[in-house]
Amino acid sequence: MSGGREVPSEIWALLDGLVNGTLTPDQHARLGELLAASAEARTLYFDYLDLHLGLRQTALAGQTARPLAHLQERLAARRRPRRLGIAVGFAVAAAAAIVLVARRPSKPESVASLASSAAARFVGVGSSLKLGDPLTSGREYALREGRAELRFKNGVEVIVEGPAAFVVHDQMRMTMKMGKAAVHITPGAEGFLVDTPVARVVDRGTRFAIDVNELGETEVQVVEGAAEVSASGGAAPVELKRGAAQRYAFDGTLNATAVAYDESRFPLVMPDRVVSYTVTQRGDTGGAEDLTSITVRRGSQVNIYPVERLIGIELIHFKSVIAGRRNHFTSTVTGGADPRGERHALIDSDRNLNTGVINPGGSPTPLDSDPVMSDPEDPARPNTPGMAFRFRKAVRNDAGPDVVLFDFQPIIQPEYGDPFHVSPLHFAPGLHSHTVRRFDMGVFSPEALTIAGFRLNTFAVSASSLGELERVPLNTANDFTVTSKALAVGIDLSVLGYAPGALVEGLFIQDVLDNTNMVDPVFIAGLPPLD
Amino acid sequence: MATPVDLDEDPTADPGSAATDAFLKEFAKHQERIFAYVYALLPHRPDAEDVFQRTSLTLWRKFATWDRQSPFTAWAFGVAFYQVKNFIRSAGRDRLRFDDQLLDRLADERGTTVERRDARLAALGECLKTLDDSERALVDGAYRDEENIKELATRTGRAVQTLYNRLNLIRRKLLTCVDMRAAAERSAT
Repeated sequence: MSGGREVPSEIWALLDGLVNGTLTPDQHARLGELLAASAEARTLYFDYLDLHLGLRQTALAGQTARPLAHLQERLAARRRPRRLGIAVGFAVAAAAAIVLVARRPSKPESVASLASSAAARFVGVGSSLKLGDPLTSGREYALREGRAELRFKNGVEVIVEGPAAFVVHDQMRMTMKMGKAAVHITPGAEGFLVDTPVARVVDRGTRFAIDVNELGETEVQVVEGAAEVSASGGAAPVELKRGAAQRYAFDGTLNATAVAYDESRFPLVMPDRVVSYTVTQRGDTGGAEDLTSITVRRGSQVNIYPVERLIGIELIHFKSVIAGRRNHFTSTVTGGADPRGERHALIDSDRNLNTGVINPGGSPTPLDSDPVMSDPEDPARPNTPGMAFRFRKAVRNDAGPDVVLFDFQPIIQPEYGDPFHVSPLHFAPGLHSHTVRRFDMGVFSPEALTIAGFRLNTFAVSASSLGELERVPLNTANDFTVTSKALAVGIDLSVLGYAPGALVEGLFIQDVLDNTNMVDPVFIAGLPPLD
Repeated sequence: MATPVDLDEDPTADPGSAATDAFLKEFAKHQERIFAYVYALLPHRPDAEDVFQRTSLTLWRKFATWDRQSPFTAWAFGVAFYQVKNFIRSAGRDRLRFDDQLLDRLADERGTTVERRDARLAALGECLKTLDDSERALVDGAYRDEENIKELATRTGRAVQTLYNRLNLIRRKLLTCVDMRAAAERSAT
């Protein structure tokens, strides 16, 4: 598609409905959700409205679309006495407008913002960036790992892959000091240029990729359209066309050589993943409570799901006892009192990101046969440590992630979440377990939100079955105060060997027992099928 | 804190004065942009027209407070934003509205996308030439009087939905054309 508008496909129909005046209140609310969740969607929204207004203006050409006459009439009308109420209303309005006018322009003018992140980890200046935040011109941003998508005011998109260091100057220029980036320019932004320590690349439309090593040596690949490349210092530029690659390297002096084109080395797109999520905030101190929507990139399509559209789960098994380990207790996290007898609801019946049934047991090696899930546990055939859940409706294996799991993670614990195994409930030929070693975001990623404080309950004994989870007596309950983030990961059912389109009833998860930290699920759901 | 001003004593409130002329000159230049700004926040034409009118009046009243070091549109958008918020607050809950957070965000971003409008409008003019006669007739008919697509359906013997569907496709096609043309025109200069 031209323009590369990375928007959920459903937005088109909503925009049409909006301009045709046929949108229902539900659809309007949905449009609001999509716009709130995606900068791309908002750009499309503006462009679409402009097109709509432009068509009206054109159709009315010949007549003055918006005559000044109305204003002149109103000006004349001011000579006549007006009702007091209106006069006061205007006075208040005008006074407030003054305050507003004084306030708004003081916002720093930004040329680019952080549009999206795939576990981006900035250090230094950018370490507190959140999605949508403006970047400061002239500052060096250091991206240690992950991918960050920058959006310039004129629509230029740059995906930077860490480790990388870059500076944004204005909406037509940036410097890549080191690292990889892919630049995609939108219509109207031709001439966008990227400087490196040894070269200058001018985008002539529409997409190129660049790799700068620690010496500043630079490789440029043109993915679509054309780019002009020159050694810095005013050398004559060379025009590279689609599929061409050039490298500027030192060999005594700086030499330019044509190299093999290999776009797989570059961060051309953002990966399929949980892109972001939205929550309700607790009071004014903040902190995420209820999940309200998640944005997931599935098979290069960005979908925004309000929590109501997700497929819920039912907890069907829990065992935290691990042979040969002591001091490993069943725990739950709650917002208030221990819901004994209904503890399962903390993970399977609420949207809260600060409640869950945590610390399931695990195993260093993943399952290769059906888990044992008796309730009560049969001592002759011990239950499998871990937890299992059934989807309230079978989840279809579609492109990209099909299931999402949120883990709460104190910021002092492993940065990219607690690794876990995920397995089918019933093994069949072709099916196998998969180990999730990294969540889609880390505790320092801009897309990971801080969760509101919660109460950590530990129990006097560990539970060996779901029934025991509900019954075991409470040992301690204390407020957990270490700053914690909700990390999300999308799980593609294909990684378990399920065929495309397969319907999956449920999953089993186990901690990998790589350290003393256990996976802490606070929300799990299936995604609805793609259209 | 701002002090309420007695607007009836506002020195600019004199049609025909130099201040009013200066205002009308600026306003005429930017009014479509201001409307486009309001419309993005309040995408319902009658509401947007209403707020636009109120905004116009406020801008004129407060014209003396415009700091000429900053663009007229930046100032006007600030005033319009307040008018939109005020309108939403007073218009009740039964109407279709975006929430405050989204409004803030749209307002911030709209201020900058409005800058691309002129080039895109020019491109649209060219793109309209690529439509065939029946497409052009539909666009003209539907847009000359937006409320009357039903009449148009009756007149042309088609279902309203069919006309909407065709119109949607035409807009999609024009958007793609505008994207490409805006690109070509910028790179030519």
